[in-house]
Amino acid sequence: MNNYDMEDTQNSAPGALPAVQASKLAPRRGPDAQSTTKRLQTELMQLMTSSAPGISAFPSAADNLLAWAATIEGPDDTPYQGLTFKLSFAFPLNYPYAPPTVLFKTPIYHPNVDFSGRICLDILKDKWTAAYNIQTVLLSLQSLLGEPNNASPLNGEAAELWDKDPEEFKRKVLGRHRDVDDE
Amino acid sequence: MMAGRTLDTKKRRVFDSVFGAPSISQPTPVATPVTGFTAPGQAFGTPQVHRSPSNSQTPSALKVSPEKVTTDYVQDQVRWDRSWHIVTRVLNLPNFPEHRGVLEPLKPERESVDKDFYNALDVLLYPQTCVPLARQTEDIIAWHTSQVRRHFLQQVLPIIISLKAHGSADAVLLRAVKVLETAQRQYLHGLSFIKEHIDNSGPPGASVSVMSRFHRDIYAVISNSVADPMLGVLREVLGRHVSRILGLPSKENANTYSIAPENVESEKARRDLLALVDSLKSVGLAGEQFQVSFAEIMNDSMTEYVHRGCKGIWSLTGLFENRPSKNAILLRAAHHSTPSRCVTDLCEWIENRYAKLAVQVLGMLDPKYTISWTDKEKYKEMSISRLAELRINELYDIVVRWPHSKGALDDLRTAINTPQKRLHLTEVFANTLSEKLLHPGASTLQILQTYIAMIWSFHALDHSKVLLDRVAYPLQLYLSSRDDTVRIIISGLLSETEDAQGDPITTSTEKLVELAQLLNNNSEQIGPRADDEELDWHDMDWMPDPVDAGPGYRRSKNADIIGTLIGVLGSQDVFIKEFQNIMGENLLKHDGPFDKEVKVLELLKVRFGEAPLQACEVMLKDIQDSGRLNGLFRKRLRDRHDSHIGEADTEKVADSIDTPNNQSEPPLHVKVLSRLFWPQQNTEDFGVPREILELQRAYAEGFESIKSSRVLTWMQSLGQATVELELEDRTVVEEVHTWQAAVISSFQFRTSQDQEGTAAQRTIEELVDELEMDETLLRSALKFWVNKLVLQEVAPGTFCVLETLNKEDRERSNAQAAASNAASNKDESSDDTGLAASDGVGNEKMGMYWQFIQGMLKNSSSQMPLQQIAMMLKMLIVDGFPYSNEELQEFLGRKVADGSLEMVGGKYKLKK
Repeated sequence: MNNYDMEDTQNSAPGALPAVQASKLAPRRGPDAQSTTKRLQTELMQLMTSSAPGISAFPSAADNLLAWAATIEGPDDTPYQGLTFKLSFAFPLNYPYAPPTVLFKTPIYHPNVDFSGRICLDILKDKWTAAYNIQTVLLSLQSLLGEPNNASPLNGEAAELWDKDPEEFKRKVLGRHRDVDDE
Repeated sequence: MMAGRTLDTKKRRVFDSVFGAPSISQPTPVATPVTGFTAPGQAFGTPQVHRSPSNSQTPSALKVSPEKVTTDYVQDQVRWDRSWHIVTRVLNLPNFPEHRGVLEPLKPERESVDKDFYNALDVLLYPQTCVPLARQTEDIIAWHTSQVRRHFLQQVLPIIISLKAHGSADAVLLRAVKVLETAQRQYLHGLSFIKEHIDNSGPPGASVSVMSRFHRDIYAVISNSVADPMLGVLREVLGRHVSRILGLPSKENANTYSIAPENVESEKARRDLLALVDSLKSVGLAGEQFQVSFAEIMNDSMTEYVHRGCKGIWSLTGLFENRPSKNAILLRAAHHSTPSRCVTDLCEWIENRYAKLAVQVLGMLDPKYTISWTDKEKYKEMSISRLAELRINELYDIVVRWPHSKGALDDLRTAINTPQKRLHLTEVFANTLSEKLLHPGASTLQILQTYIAMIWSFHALDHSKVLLDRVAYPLQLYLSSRDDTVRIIISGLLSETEDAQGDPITTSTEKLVELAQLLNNNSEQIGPRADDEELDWHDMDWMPDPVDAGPGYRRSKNADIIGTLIGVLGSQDVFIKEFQNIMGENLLKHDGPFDKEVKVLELLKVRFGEAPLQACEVMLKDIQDSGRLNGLFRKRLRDRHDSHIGEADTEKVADSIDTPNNQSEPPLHVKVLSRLFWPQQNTEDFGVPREILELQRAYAEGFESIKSSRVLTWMQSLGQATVELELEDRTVVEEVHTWQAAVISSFQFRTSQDQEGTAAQRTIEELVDELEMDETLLRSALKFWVNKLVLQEVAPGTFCVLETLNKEDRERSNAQAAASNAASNKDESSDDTGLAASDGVGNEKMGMYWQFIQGMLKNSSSQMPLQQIAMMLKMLIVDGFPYSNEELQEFLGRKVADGSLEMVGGKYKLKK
């Protein structure tokens, strides 16, 4: 992933060390709230300056960077085409050394998502590394919509239907989907 | 006893003044039991001739009888007393008048002294033989010494002290020396009688010890009493002479910073000084205090010389060609392949003038003092370490003046030879550095230039880099806190080293040209440092590692400026990202082989490895591919439309040449960028002129047929156009941005539609509609053309073409043309700023802020009031959101107007 977020190092207030250089000069310390916030701010700037089509994310409230809301548009040529899904991100204090907790807020019919929105995705569990970020997670989820991992389904019926009866699958998807508005 | 005698003398003087004095007064005998009365006509107390036989008989008469002994004893005593009286009377010191002439005859006059005196003196000097029985005898010399001492303190000293009050130092000193000389002559005159007598009567050489003891005593008296009060005067005179002899500027011309060569004046001063020292020595003033003063003055002179003669003289110019043999006089430690001018001068000065003076003066004080060769070496060492101290304090300025200050660094290298001195040097320099440079008043460019100069200078000073590392750390730390450091380094690497005329640019106030020069000269060894240097047996300049090197020390021979700058200031990511941005700009802005970019890319690859720089490689390749594609399409289009030549390239950039009169075939050069690998490009969309649009469409078709999987997106506002405008009375050719070209071309079409009617008039509103261009951008373009005297604003918001110029405008136009030839790049850059600096929320960042607002409204909450949006922006954008709520409201208002947003119940909401 290319980071073209030059803005954040070029225009910071004079006197304040830009994050990259500051971390270079100071001995690396363990993760703390400060560096987590910093990291999330950088990610936000990155998302805003180089957004990928069909995904978007933003902090839920200005005073808590640890909770975000995200939106995924269903990819074309999948049963989810034209649908929009909302997700919530909850970041642990030691992010990015531990994965965020991601849930679908919009009800979705999908082999790897259960009815309460929990997701079965390896990079959100044991395959997580600090190299992943919000954007990569969202892109992975977007591709998961088109290519479910039917080997380890949370929703067995959906896994079965995906292969056997795409029509029925699509009907179930549309039936389950409904727009949520958080207000 | 002596006091009593003086009293007597005084009384007698009073008496004599009334009754007249006999030629020689007589002592009143202490006891005269056996002497008869003096014969009539004979002076009382005159030595009696008949006494002599009895005197001579005395020894034999010793044992005759007790009475006889008693008588003899008394006689001897009387004789002693009388002799004493005669001698002291003659030798009594006369009063010392204040203005006594030197040539005035001394008393007592030699002629007036008669035989009686010598007989008496004989008695006093040899009492054992002459008056063996006298019980009370005294040393006549001790008496004389003590009367001299008293005389000096009571009569001479007050005169000398009173001298100080008036006259110049020279005169005072001269006068004091004269007085002392006179007094001394007087004292020695009295003594000389005794001395002569001893010489005549005693064993040879007996007088020497007497005289030397007397001299010692009298010098002690003089130096103890006179030296202190005269010290100030003495120092002043000495100092003046010494500085004149050594060529130092005196107080009157203290402003001159040069050392006078040896000349008549200095020779005269030397003679004067030596004469002075001689006379001081003769009167006893050349004692310890004189020597201390002289030493102090010499010491100060050396410092003075170093400050006067070496301060600010740092260059190497004209050094050795004309005096090849000077090495001989250098300090042994200073022998070096390139001793600097100051060190050479200094050693020469010490050798020929300083040491010479010291030898002469000290030799005069005491012939036993000699200045040995080692002393001279010591002087040189001292002077060089003073020079080093001076240079250390000047070091910052020396560094800034690099490379015109190599000489000064040579001075330092000679002298900085112990760890303590090295530590001192780095401490002083670090202090100066943080005082003079590391503050917000200095530009980053300036700091970097200084850093480069520091690397050079310290490398010249100390190849080991230990010193540099010590002083550079705070600088590096400070530079890391500057945002533009990396950008300046990279753009410096990529900058032009020659100006438009092909002359090399040596310094610049805008860019770090030094780096580009280094890169071009290839003087720097690019690549991994030669680690096997230790094994180079042929390296005759090999030096051991300095003792104060740190544990992580690694020797490296070259200065490696680029490497240091890149390696130290900022992380790899920052550098690569910055390089990408700047290279991207350059690639888009210019055509050409991009040699510099390739070179810098290679340099960075060596340092950071291939993988992180992959994107940059792709960028370069994009541009090269674009060139090939352009050629391909040009051929293809020519085949297709025969006369239509169009060159097109890719996703992003259009380069067009737009000729209004020949509308058919502006050639189009396209640069295709691979979006994923290029930095984010800010672009404004607008309606390009029709014929360009057609060319673009044709190109896009062709491109997609060649590379089917790729989609071409035009970025209209990037790129350049060459515009040639034929107006009624002139032709204007300008290299402009595409958006500027689009604006002027819309005037062109209107002109042709109106036929020959009035000049074309367009309002801003019309243009906004027609070009679908942002209003700020449009205004900026209009302003550009108004400045070029192509358009004029006939009414607010309405512009028309200025077909003919009046005289004034013509002159302005000519002047502009001349000016723009000189600095063609300047107005380009100022236009760029014109684009960004607009009213309200700026174009440049508008895109980013809009992204934030969209993300916010899409995810966080579907509708938000103004305050909440403002607060979110302020808290979430790392650099802060610099606009007020009113400005934000205006911005959001525009978004509402163009249909992206809607207002529902005071809250903003994305329009579905």
